[in-house]
Amino acid sequence: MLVVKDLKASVDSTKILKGINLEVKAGEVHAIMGPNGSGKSTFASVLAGREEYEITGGSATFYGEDLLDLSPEDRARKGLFLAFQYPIEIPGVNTTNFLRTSLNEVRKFNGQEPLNGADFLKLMKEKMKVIEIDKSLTKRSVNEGFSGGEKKKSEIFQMAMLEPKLCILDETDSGLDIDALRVVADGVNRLRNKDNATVIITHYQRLLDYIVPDFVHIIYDGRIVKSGDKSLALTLEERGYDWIKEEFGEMTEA
Amino acid sequence: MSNEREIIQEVTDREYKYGFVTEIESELAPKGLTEDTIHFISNKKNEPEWLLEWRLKAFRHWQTLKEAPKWAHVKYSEIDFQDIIYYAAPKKKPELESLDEVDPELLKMYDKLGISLDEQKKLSGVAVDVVMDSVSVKTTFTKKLKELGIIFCSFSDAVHEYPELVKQYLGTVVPYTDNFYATLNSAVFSDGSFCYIPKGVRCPMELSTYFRINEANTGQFERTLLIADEDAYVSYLEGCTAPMRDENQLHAAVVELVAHKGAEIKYSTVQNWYPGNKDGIGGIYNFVTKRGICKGDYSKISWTQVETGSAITWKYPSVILLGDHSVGEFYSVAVTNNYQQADTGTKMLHIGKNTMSTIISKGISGGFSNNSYRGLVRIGKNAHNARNFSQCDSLLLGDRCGAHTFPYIETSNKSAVVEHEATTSKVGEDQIFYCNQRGLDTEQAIGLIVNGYCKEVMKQLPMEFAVEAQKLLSISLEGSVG
Amino acid sequence: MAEDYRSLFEGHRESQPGVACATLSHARENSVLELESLGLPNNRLEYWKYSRIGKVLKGLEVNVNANDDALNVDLGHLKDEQFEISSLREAILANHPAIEQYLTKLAGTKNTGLTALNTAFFSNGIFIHIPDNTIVEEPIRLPNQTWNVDGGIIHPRNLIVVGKNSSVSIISQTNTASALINTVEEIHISENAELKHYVLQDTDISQVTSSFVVQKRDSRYTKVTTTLNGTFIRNNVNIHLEGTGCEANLYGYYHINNKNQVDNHTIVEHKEPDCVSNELYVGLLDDNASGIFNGRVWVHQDAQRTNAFQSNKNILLSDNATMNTKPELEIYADDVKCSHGATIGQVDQEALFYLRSRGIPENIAMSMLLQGFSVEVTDKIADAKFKHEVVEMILQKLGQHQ
Repeated sequence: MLVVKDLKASVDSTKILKGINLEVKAGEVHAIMGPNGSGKSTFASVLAGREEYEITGGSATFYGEDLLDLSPEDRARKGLFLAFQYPIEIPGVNTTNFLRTSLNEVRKFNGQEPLNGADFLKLMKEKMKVIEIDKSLTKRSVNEGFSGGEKKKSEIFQMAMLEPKLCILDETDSGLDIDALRVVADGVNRLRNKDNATVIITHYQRLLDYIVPDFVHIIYDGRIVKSGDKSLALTLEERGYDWIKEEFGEMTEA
Repeated sequence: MSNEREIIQEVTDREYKYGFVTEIESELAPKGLTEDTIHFISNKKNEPEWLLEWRLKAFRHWQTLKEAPKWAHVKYSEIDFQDIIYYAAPKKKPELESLDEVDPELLKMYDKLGISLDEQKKLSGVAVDVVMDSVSVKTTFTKKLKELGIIFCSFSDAVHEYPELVKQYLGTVVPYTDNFYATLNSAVFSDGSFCYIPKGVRCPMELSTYFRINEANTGQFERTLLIADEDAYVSYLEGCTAPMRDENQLHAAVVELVAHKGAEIKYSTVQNWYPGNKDGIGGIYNFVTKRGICKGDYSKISWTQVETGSAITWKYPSVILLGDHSVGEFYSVAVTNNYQQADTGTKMLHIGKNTMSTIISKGISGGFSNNSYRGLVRIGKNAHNARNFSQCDSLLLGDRCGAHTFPYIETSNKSAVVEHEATTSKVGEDQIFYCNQRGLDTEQAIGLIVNGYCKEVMKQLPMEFAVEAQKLLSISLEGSVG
Repeated sequence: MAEDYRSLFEGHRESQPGVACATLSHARENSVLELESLGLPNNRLEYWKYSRIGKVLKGLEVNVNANDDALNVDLGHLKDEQFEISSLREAILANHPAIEQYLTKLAGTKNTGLTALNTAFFSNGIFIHIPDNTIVEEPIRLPNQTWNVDGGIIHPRNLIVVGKNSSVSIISQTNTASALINTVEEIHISENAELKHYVLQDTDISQVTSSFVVQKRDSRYTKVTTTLNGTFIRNNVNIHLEGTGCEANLYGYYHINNKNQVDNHTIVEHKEPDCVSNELYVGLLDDNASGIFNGRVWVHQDAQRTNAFQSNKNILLSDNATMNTKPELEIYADDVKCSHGATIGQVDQEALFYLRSRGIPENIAMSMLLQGFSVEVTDKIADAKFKHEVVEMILQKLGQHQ
């Protein structure tokens, strides 16, 4: 589904990604872990098409198509979803209206009829139940005045609505209390199937107790320096990141 | 390093190189302003013809200006410009032998501030150019600076020694037609400082000028010109004290700064001239034009001012952001008490691309005073990606004072981002009470709170000034709360 | 234009309504004197800085529309037993006590010669009087007004009086055609009364509207002005808080294009303690349009415990659009909480990316964000039906069709 080869990116001429390689197939769950400043979130942002980052080398394909050439909206329509680390508040833009526009754009792109108001509301109700999200949230402006937990839940709720192929969760677990974490993880698990894939970007092992990854990658100084199965995450939990720093030399923090 | 006695001695004993000060005792221009006055000043200073011509042009222009500007939020009776002496050289005072005789008022103020001239110099190798009344009389450290190619001297000396530089830059930032007081200054300016930092040189010390006014009925018209050539850096300090006077004195200085490509100028001022007595009698009228131009790309000009003195302050240190990526900053604390009036602020004129400006202004008013922030942020049509952030806060310490904010924001470029915020509030009674409970009296508490309120600006001051400025804030607020 | 206001006035005074009313005649006399000394505005005056008023006034004649049938407005369907509504002329001729009490008393003439001009020459307008203790449930929606005149400057005059403990909403829409409509409205809100005032400006005209609002103790006034079109729109709002415990809310949204100009000037005068004022003006400037905001919060010495908040936010949509803003605070009382802010910028790029990352195309995402920008203001319209109408118009203007 997603093939990333030697991807390099920088911002304001500071190199952040220094050659990332990653392949994600349908049905898989990947966890990408690493210390602060290692390039985890940059990787997520680059995949979603944030424009501040300059791609300086390498490639990324999504179902065989050059991902890096697409606008952010086209990536989304093709089924790439980024759950933001810090979902932005957008005052004045109603959540329901936003979601409906978003869903219908995705449907239109995939040759489906737009949903009418009633069908949309029905779908929304259904998904709200799955994610255990409070109804009042959809009546407010996008993310405005949401608590940290509500914001993250709202991201997963949007994911449920759009049914993407590739879900990238950027530090979705950070700042969540254990109850909210469970709700988010349950939501993600319920959405998993053999056709879609999930990339979890996280600093902590905690979330992986709830969403069990098939692969764990450690990113450090803009490169994936180690890959393994879920036991790697447990090693990290035990030993911290220092041994990575030692093992992989005098690399500077990005 | 000289102590003040040596300075004073040098001051009084100095033989003027150009010999124009022969009878020091009577170096007063006749009262009033005519072309003859201009000739008198120029002649006294043995100026070249081109400068006399420039002064005359300014004077003729000034005559066409019918009246002093009235838009500022200040009230005062009209100034009789014919009742002012436009030139005064310092009197020879041979009896000055000991410290106490130097200038008791000056010393008293320094005493309160906890510093003396002597200490100030010892503090950090500050080069002090003392301007007494109108003629610059002492320049120290000149030699050391000279080694680096830095020129730091009185304006008059510069006219004679570096005429080409003066001619090249004089009036290029503040033209003689700029405004009523700048025009007046251009016609009659007496002296001031001149500074030139050559390419790539970082001036190793804070350059400093102390002004004071000690001749009754003497208008003082300083002219400062400061040029930082490519990639040069300079930090310049200007401090003012004035002894008590009963009659209002006019001060209309002009400061011009030029920053070439990659250059940085930091200009700091502490102004504590005589503000008048508690009934609003006397005090200095401080009508100043200060402006800098970021001429080259990546240049930077930063103004920091702590304004506590003067009966009336009318002052807007500004930056013209001409070079791409140039940066302008304005940090200001203005304190008014009793019947003081201040109308101060800045102009940030964005012309180049990717230019950035920051304005932080803190106004504190007590007693019956009025304190206004007046600022202009203008984003020109071609100033792509210009950025401005302004924060203007006012603190009120009494129920008979006023605090006002008049920001003008003009934007003609859609890629610009301009943000202005302002607040006005009263000093927190609970904060005062908390301090009282911990044994501080109310005046101390207010001093403490106000210093905290102004921290953002105060931290911009060079160390040597910060201490003095902090004490000054507390002193200025004495008796502000009933 | 050097009009001879005096002879113009003398020539028409006999045909003006209320010539028999001593107070009114006196006010008109004074206005002529003021007009003679002030003249009409130009942009050299601080109050008209950045304004195109000079160009607008150039070559315009003062239209002395004193005839009975100059104003064409049908108020019949609005008649209600709860309150009085009529043309101002009718109210003057009927010697309504509110005329003697309020007309020309609320409008100051010091600000601008245009108000003086109106006072000297107005002949008609709308009069609304809500008696004490009256709750008017449905908003009063004023119908279209047209004036049977050709060009020139015309002078509609409106008077609205809300009695004690009463509450009413009024919706007005400007759609009169003339070269320049110089409206003056006087609004008196009595003790503990409330007026919600919604104004929609959506026709291609030039107008100066000067509103003078006097609020008595514990009264509430909310004004929401939406400007979507207009060659030259100048809104002067002057609020006088003359009693304790008042609340004044001024909101505005503008989106203009072409070479048009929108100019909102507000003065909120806190004269008494314990009042609250809120101001929020947001807008979009497109093409060669220019916007002006000048908000002045003036807190008098006795107005302790004042809370005043003021904000002006703008987005420039075109390289040739300009915005000049000047939020002023003038404060003479110490126990106050006042703040103001002004921003000029663009749509939040982070928000734009967020919407696009959810599959929404850039142009629609942009419209959504721009519409979101207006919500803070339109949310202040309490009447759902009118709010819906305004939001639809805003969307239409943004080119977004749902």
